[in-house]
Amino acid sequence: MFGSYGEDLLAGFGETVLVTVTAFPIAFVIGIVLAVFRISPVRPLRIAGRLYVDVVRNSPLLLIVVLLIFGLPDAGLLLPLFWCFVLGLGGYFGAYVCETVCSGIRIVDRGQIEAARAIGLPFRRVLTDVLLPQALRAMVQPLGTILINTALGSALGAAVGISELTLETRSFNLDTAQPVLAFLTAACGYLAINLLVSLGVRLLERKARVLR
Amino acid sequence: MSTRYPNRRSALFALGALPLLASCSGSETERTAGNPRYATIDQSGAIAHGPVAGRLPRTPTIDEIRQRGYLRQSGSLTNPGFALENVKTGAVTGFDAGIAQLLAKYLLGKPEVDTVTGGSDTREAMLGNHSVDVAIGTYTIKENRARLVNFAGPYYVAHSGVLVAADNRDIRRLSDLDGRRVAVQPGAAEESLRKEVPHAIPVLFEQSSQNASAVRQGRVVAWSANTALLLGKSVIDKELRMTDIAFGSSPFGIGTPKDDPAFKSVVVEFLHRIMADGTWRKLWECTVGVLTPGPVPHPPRVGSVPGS
Repeated sequence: MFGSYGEDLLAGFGETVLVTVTAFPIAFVIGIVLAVFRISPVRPLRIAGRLYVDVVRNSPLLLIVVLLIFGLPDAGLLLPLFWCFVLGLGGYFGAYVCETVCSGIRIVDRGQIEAARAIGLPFRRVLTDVLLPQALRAMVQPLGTILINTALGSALGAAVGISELTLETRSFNLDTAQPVLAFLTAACGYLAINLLVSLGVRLLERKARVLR
Repeated sequence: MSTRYPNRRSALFALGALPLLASCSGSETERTAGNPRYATIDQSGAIAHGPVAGRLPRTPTIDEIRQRGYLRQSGSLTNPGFALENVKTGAVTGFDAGIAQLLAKYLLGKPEVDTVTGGSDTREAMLGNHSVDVAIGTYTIKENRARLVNFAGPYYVAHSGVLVAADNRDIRRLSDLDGRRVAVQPGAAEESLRKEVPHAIPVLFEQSSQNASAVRQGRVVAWSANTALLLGKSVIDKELRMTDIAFGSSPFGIGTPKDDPAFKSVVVEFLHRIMADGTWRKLWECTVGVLTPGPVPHPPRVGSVPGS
């Protein structure tokens, strides 16, 4: 059915997975750091966190990626295409992770934080021992959604030269003129990734609930 | 303003994002209005010269076009020399845009065209379900596609060229591209590169300005596209240089719905008319001819390639 294109499509699928599993940890780290900024007692950090989220979250993803790919070299930094794209994706979804973490933190009862402070825990320990373990548990589901969005957002790579699933699908279609078959195949690829993520999230959630 | 931004602080953040947006739209205006060569492309003289059909046979597609009052086509609006929309005036200029307008005039008596920019992914599907009447826009005639659409043409044969950074002396012949990263736009240029230089590594960017940036910034060694587009770029951008390398030939055709063969005959007849009465020549002179030096080529022979 796919002839010699099967290999290219599979490579494209691999690239999509690679982009996703590289970009999401970046988004996660950026998001956590930003969330800590947002709740920190230092005012400039709070402002910086808020500014980042408001600017990045309100810009189209493609614009951010294009700025990184074509703007950075003009500033004298020529990163490989893959890393520009992954950083763009990670930076963008980092803003969403930050919002998720912030709302996760908000569900922790204020009294617990006051109690932690009262027994003399420093800000770092309040964060790592009281706030984040509880907040992260509530965030499993929304973080899974962000992971799915990262996988879907990676399709934008086709517009900027990343040989991922969508781009390979388009090349396949260009040569064989079978748009329905081509894009159904791509859809199945994304579906496979995202069903796997959903499954993982469900397992993780169950585990988190038992721990509680 | 007050309804969209709930408080003053978010309005300030929104203002902060403006420079980001401005830096993006800047390239758009530069590509059209601020670009002297492209701005001189204006095919209205050729359109005025174009023929209007006498009596036309009734076919489902022609009936629909007449009822609607304009031609609906799938094409591009960002391809300098072929179909480029001027963001200030809304006018679409270029060779392909001219062919579409001439066809509309031939069928309706007025050059009214609505362009659907579906890219190269959806042309066969849109013709198949009659979302568009025709597909005109660097649409290479291929036997694979001729299974799904009827091609009238070729009306133009494009050749691929290679553009490099002005200080690059390594790329002298086609084989120098082997194993190197070459920027191309998806579609005709990509097909040509994959077929003729299978060992080059294609890097696909959608906009021609992105391809030019990639060469300038050293992200790729070269940019391959049709010669008219590259010549236009190399004339206005001193950091880029056109090489003598030329390869491949892409016969561009007008895609028409598979289930309306009578309509294809009408479009073929239209192409014969504009090639015979000098309209084709006029159109070439005021579009591709503005970008490419040299004499006007002979129009290709309609029906001369497999699939047409």
